[in-house]
Amino acid sequence: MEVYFDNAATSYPKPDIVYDKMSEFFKNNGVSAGRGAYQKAFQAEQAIFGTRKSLAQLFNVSDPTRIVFTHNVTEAINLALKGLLEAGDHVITTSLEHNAIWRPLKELERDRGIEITKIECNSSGQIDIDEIENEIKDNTKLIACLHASNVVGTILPAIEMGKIAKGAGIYFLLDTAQTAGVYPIDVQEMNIDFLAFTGHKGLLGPTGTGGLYISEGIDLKPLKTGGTGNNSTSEYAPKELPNRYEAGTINTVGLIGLGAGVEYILDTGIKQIRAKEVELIEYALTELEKIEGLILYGEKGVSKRVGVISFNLEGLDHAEVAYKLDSEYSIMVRSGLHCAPNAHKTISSFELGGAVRIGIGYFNTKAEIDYLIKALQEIK
Amino acid sequence: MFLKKIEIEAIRRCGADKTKIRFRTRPSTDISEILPYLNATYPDSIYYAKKPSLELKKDDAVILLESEAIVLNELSNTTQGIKFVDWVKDEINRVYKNKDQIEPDYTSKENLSVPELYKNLPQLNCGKCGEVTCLAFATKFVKGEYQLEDCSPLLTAKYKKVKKRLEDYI
Repeated sequence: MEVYFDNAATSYPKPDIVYDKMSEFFKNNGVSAGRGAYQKAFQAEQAIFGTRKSLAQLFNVSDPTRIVFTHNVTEAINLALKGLLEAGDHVITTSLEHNAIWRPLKELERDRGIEITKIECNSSGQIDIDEIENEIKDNTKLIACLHASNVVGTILPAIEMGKIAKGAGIYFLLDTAQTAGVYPIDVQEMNIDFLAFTGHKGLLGPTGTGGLYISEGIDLKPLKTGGTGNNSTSEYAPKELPNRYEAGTINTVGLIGLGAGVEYILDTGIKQIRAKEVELIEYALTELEKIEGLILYGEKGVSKRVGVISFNLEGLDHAEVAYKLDSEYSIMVRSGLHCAPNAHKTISSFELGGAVRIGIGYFNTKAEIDYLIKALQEIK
Repeated sequence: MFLKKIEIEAIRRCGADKTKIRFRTRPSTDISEILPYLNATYPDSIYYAKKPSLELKKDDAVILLESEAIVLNELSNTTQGIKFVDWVKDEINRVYKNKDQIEPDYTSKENLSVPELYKNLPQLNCGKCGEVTCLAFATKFVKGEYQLEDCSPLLTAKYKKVKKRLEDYI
């Protein structure tokens, strides 16, 4: 039995429709979108627009052209932060952040002179929402944080954070790497100015796809400039979206796959996906807790969690546990710091060098969780 | 569904504003019967009964609908173009679905006279619109094949008053 529990890194398998659509498009069309003067190019462009439209429906975005494609969520976050922040700007973030937010912020602090306030979350990954409000100053421009932790799975209160940002007249950037496709997201209800997403996790698309939703009326400096297939005589990037931020040939085949993944989610229903995952997460948490000597991190209640569960076995190195799970049981998990050292400091696993992480996805089963529990019982 | 598909046939640069593009598309169904209903729904639109055709504006785009062709002008990029193609299709289907509740508007701009229009044009015969003479432009304009913006001299400050006079006439 081979079991994949690394869906927090990338989801696998994908629904068949994703493989089928990509293969069909690659074989039968396969041209560059937005560049050619022929039917196939128009069809490719229309198919890519279909992906934008499906994403707009999923996130309740009214204008699909406000969604620009990137290669992953990291690039989307970099575009938002580096395109927006200037010397003297103040940003509020959290101690749970992945390096995708933390590193660009630190770089901007060093190179551009921005100011960062990191709100410390408690050991289960909960944030005190009042603290955010208390930290807002005259030069605060942005609240930037993840929606759910890639280490402890805690879901942050995005609606409340969006309300605070709106009330203070500042921007709100949400990194949805662990929530897009598995948890309801509404840019209007959550007052999100920048929604960064990746295509290859909960959205069930291939790697190399992601994007950023930029709300109406905001102009960011592009992260890259170059050919956009239109208005070529202008020596600068066009003003209009999405071309302003999509210089160079886009990942057409990948975005067709992403469109198929999102369609699958819309057909299945985000509520149904969440309900199934909640059942699996609850079951895994209950069964893991029964293992003696297992240190389980994060919230006990499943309502504030996504399918990311980290733990350690007392007296055993996390890397050793992950190695044994793979080599002796063919169970694929992740171990270490998960690119989020601050989050491990927050939950007190940093001193242990990190933790073992399982990433539960929509296609996992209770039988697979039983198999993992059995393996862990034997390893300890 | 009344209109199943709008197929893009060609994407070209706009005649007037070279930074913009134009989509020529083909609807899968003859859309003539729906034009008076669209004319009623969009008070700013211009309807030509003889052809028939309808010109309407959506954000920055100028959309010309004919029985078997839809031309979208003044588009900033292809994604924007596809967005408007998508919008037109949804809008035609929406209006078609509700047509029993809409009083069709047959008010036409057909009574525009070619000589009257020609008299008011810059008469430079510059050819920038794609026609050899301003008279040819005026003839096609009356048929709904051009908009005032296609005459680039008209967009200059020199002809501001002339443009205003033409707009009033139209």
